[in-house]
Amino acid sequence: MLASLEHVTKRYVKNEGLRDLTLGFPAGEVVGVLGLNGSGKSTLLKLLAGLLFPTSGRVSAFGGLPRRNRAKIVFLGENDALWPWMTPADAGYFMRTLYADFDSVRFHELLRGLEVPLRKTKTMSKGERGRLRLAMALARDAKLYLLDEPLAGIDLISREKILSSIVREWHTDETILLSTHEVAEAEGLFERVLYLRDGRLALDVSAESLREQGKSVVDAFREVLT
Amino acid sequence: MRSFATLLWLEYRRSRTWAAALLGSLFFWWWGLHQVRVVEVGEQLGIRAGLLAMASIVAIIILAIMIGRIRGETRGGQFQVLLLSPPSGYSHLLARFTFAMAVAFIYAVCIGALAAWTGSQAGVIFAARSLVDMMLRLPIYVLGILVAPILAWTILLMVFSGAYRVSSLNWVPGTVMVLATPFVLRHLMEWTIRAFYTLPGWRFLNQFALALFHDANTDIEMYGEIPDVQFLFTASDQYIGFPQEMFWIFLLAAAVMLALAGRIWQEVEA
Amino acid sequence: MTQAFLIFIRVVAVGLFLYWAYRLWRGTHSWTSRLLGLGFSALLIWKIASGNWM
Repeated sequence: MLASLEHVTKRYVKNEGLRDLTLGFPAGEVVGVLGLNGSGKSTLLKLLAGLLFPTSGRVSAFGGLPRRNRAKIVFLGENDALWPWMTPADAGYFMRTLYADFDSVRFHELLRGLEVPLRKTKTMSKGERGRLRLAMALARDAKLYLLDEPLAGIDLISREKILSSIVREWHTDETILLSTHEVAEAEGLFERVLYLRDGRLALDVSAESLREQGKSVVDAFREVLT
Repeated sequence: MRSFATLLWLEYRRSRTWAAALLGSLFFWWWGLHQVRVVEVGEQLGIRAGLLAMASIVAIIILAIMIGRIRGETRGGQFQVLLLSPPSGYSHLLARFTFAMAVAFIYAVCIGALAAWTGSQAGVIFAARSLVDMMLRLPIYVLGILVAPILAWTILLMVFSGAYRVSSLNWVPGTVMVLATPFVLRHLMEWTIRAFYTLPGWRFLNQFALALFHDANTDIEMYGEIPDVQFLFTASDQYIGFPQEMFWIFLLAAAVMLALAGRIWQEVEA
Repeated sequence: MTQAFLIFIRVVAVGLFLYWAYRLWRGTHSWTSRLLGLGFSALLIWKIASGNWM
């Protein structure tokens, strides 16, 4: 297993993010993490990224603690995560000097392909910032990609560009976990889908078996979560 | 080394507005010193010394806020980027500390220059050596005994409280640390004072005292009679200097706090 | 009266710090945080219990 959770519970100050979750992620999967607001999607991805620690249970990635193996993990959070004064050139410098697996040539190709403007992020739209962050993420050669709502609040054209870039850049030995509310748009990507409800796993199913049952990912979403 | 340079660059870009504002405020303090138009020389010197002390205190507060601010960056997601980047917590925090100390050093040198100007306005003629002491050795001493420990403490507080803010511990670590700090400081000061002058004192500013004796201005000589500051105004063979133990012990305390903070960085959740 | 009130405050404070020490023992992830948290708590408890906080 590339990454796993064993009986993981995450308790915050006032509520529980996840309850007794056990999951495994082998190499080479594209997994959709779906659920209503507050279902624990971000908590799951942040635990796997090493940004959060479980209240009980064990999270591991690449055989150890995710935080220790952070150089092999790409996490794209829901927040903007870029300093307002940063330009794509600054971002490229930041990534190039801190990440050994960052490919500057690919980064610039992605910037062109995603039509990211070469100015400060504070002057960019949300969609442009989202595309810049995706270019930074996909220009790395990691084995585990955790994308937390990369399509949130982004216009339709940018969403299509983001999704097609993810498809284009994915390699068969890489694992991608992608959480999104844009289920219909993203469902073509998923080989496996996790449905979370109130911090628990409601359903863990392969996209193929859903299709064999004559259902789409959206249909199962409605069935399981409403 | 390359990643440390990047982190230093990042710190400069993050905080350069704060640094520029702080260093720019020196013009305000210089203007303030000029506005003190009291006729009596001793009173003028006292008011100006008070302004310089205020300038120093305000600067320390601003530097601590500059170095410790993370709430906005936690909300914006930038802090998550730092936590997940490959460099160790030691590198991250040392970069933050180094930039703040560099700004503090420049500021302290400027305050030293203002202090020298203030003294000269009161009729004191400085020897070249005492100018170097005022603008270099004394600022470095103050950075070691005051600024470095305060900034290191701020970093440790930021990291220790940040490590458990989202968990059930919430604000407990930060509160316990803040409440315990005065007691830790008291014990540290007691041990440090016991060790005073085990090593030879650092005899800077004694030429300043000699310059005073050479000056015939009676108002300045009056200050030599105030008991608490008398040690600065004795002849150089009796002058034992500043205790260097305080410098080394407090610098060591700052290093220990930074090391602890670097270790706890691994546990910060965001 | 004042003495009794001060003693009451000290007892409450020691109880609170003991409770915080317990939470820090249970909730911290590493020995560094644990020692730091418990060290600070122990110092506070010692100072308040001995009446030596002034």
